[in-house]
Amino acid sequence: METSISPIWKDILTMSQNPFEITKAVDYTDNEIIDTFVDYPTGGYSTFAAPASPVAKFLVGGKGGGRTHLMRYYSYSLRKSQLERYIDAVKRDKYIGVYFRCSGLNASRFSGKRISDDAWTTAFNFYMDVWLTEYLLNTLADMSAHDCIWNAKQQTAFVRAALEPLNAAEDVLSGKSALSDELSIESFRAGLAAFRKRMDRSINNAAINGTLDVQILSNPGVLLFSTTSAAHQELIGLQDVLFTFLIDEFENLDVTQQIYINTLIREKDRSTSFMIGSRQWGVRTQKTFSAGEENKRGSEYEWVELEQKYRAAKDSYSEFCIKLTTARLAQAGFGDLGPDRLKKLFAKLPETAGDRFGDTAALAVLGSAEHISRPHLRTFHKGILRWSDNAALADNMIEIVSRPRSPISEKLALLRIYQQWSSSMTIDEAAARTIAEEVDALRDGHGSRALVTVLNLWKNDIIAQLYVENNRRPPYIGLDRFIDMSGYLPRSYLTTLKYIVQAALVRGQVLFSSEEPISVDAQSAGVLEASEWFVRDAKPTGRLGQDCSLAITRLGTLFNRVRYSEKPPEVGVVAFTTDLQGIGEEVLDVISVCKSHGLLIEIPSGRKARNQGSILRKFQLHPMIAPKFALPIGRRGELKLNSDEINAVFDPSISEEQYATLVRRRIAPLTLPFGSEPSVMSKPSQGGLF
Amino acid sequence: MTVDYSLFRRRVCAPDDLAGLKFDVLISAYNESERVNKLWTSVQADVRIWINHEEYGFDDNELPSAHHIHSGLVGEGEIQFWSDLFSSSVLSEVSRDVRLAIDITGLMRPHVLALPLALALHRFSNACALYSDPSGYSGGSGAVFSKGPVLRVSAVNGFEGIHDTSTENRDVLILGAGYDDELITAVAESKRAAEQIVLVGLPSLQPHMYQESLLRLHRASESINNYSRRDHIYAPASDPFTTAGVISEHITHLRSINSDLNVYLSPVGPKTQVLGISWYYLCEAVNTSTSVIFPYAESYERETSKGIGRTRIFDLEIDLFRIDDYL
Repeated sequence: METSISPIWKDILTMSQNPFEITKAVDYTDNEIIDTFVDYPTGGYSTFAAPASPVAKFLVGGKGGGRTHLMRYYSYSLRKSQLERYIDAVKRDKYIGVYFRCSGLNASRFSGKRISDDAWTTAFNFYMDVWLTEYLLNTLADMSAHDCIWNAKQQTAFVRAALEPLNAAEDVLSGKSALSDELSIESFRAGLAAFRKRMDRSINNAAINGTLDVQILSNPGVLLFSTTSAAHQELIGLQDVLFTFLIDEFENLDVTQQIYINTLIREKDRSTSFMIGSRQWGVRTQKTFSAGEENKRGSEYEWVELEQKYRAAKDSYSEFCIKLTTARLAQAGFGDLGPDRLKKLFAKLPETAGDRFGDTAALAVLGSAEHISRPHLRTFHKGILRWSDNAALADNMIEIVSRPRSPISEKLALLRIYQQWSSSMTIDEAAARTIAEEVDALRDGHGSRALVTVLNLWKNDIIAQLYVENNRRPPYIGLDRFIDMSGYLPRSYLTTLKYIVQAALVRGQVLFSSEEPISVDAQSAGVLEASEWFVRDAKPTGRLGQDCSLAITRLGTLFNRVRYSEKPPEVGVVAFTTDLQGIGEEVLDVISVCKSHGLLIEIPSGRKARNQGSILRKFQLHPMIAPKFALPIGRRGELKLNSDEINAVFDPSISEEQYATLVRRRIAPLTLPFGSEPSVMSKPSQGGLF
Repeated sequence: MTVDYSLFRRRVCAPDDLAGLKFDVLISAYNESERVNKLWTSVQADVRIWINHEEYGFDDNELPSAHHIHSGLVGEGEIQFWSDLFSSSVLSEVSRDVRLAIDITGLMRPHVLALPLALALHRFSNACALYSDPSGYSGGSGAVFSKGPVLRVSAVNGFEGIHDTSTENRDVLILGAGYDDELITAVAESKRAAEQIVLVGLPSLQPHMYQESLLRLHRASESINNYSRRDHIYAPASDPFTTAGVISEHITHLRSINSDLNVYLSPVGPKTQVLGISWYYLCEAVNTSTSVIFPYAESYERETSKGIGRTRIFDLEIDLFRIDDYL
């Protein structure tokens, strides 16, 4: 049943009942982060993203890969409360995770305002030293206040040691009192915060008074590393503890600002480490201020792509997603559901005993209309008439393929007939009859192995065609399919479930009841909504975002036209190959940004040397996008696109008309009459069935 | 709330009564909306200045030629923009007690935001902000405003706060929402970790606009944290001073629970709401942990509205602000 309901009412009706309402880690409190955290199967996240490792890490990936959840899980504010004394939790973990988000810096303040770029770079570098040190001191002050473990002497020694490399900075930064020589972590924290706020004021007001008046007390990194080093030396209990700065949303920093962080990574001492969370595209440089040296992967840092880790162990990823689901459902009071029970809560297409083709579902789609008016038969009939103007031939051919109780037989026979027609450029009644008989034999359980393979390959496309020809959207059902669709982004998986549950609720369905699984209709509707969300959500901002959006629409439409043509060249086309020869820089940029933002996935195995050594690269439309264009989730076939076609899809300056012309040219050999000329069998039209 | 915003003066003027309004200087941003051009031709003024925002994409030969035109560039700081205008030969010699009116209807939002501050920095004591209601928006709930992509989300010069780094703090983003879901999405995404609160114009400028704005808001709902679980806050779309009061009250409440709060305000709704956020900021939030952020789009439609309703006149008592905080 199609349900028409205002999106606002959908929210109101479903928000309190949906266990998947929250799809982002930022929406969780610290306690909820702990409650909903699911460690990665086969060794856990620490096997590839250990926070206590002295080697810096870039944790990169698409939006919703779980970086923020993981980094927050590693943070001091979550870990500390697991033991009575915070210091004991830190000593157990062997690190202190100092977490912050770069968006909190409001880094855009450090530019423009008619102040020179060099002045901004100098100001930003020292500001960041102060900012990071302040975060560290917030953590140490919290630990000190809670555990009362460091006496006044130790704290004074710590502050003095931290500020020792900064000449004459003690008076400015330590927050010391005129009444006492004693210093404390808290006074240092307060002194530094006050100093930083004075910097803030000057930075903010530069636009108004035209000057940037900030006091630079040290070179980049000096204040930060002297403070971590002093904590190691002077604060009991921290000698074997690493200070790991968990820097999230790195993409919010511009190139020069990232160079500062890279410089810290290069020049850090053994007491400090960094874990940088960023979108894939957000790491703009590996340059440093250290004599222009670049940090090298494997040397100064490790590069961890969460999706790649998930992709490398598909079964583990599935298990992970199932655990995420059961954890959410248990939290929402649905009890502890095992994987098998969980999967049964999602309805399948209707089946009857012995129905090896899936005709029961197909007949349900076709409804009660007279069998002869089925769209695929009408298309066939019209195609023959258009090609030959021979009504008798058209009628005969319909009689040959027509199977009122088995529409899938009809579709399979037609596919084979179309394939033959396309290759021989003519239509042959006898050959058609042979094909129809082979299909009958297959349906009766004794078909040829070759035809079994054909059916297995094409069945999903055939069923999808049947839905679309009858003005229905093809079904997207089953937990395994939703997992595949997520493209190894857990948030996309959870968002899909969120929309499915929402669709089920507005259809009045009882949630997660074994008596009433979530309907096919609700599953498909939820998947479609998730798909549309993904396209909106993944595309970048700016001009390139619009270009990417257009390119993805064009690519999806091309694949759609191929899939729903009479004779698709390959099964399940959701990928293309290209040698990228003759492609301009702007078009390459669009492809590159589509890839970096997860709209396209590059398939590494797609590289093959052909045509005198030219390299073919293969790109797949992200599986989350596939339902929007009624395409299959799984990748099987691919289209080879030439440079004109690549330009037509990815070059925004190509007009819609030019694009449409190119698509028509590409689709013509796949649609009736496949470019063939009228046959010698042609006879004048004598009327006919339709 | 430390300021009684109900005391600020506002009045309305019917379209037929616009000719009775008289100012020394009228400033307005040129676009093709009837409500902008009707006011321009009706109101009496000795000096008239058109602002040409590059975002509207007018060629020189498309701009009206009879009056002084001050052009602004995409990405240029708004404070600098206004400073250049107020220091220009047309206005530099004008008395700071002049009867100055600025029609904010066609101005870019960050320029509306920066206007009271720029007036204060240039020692104007008073000014009138004019805003004409539309009868409706072209395309209803599907109306397009920003047509170019969002280039960046950043703090507006003069409205940058001094934020806290406490381990316990949480950022709050108050999104002044209107019809432009692309802008709402961009802002929400830029402060992903913040507790995001949506400020909706209610009563809206016209009765149907409330529902239409909620429909547009829904398109951005997946980007807004905890969208379905959190109540919106409401302030009249037509009244900047009440808007300022509502924001003040809400932030005071939030800070009573958590004093370390970093607050971000983002005015992407009606221009009157933008003015309200500016007013709140200048009255209460300068040099606090509050910033105003804005999603800068490359271009805007030249004509988005139909007809002209009432014109609202807001007296800006500029001499209230203590600009020493900025110097």
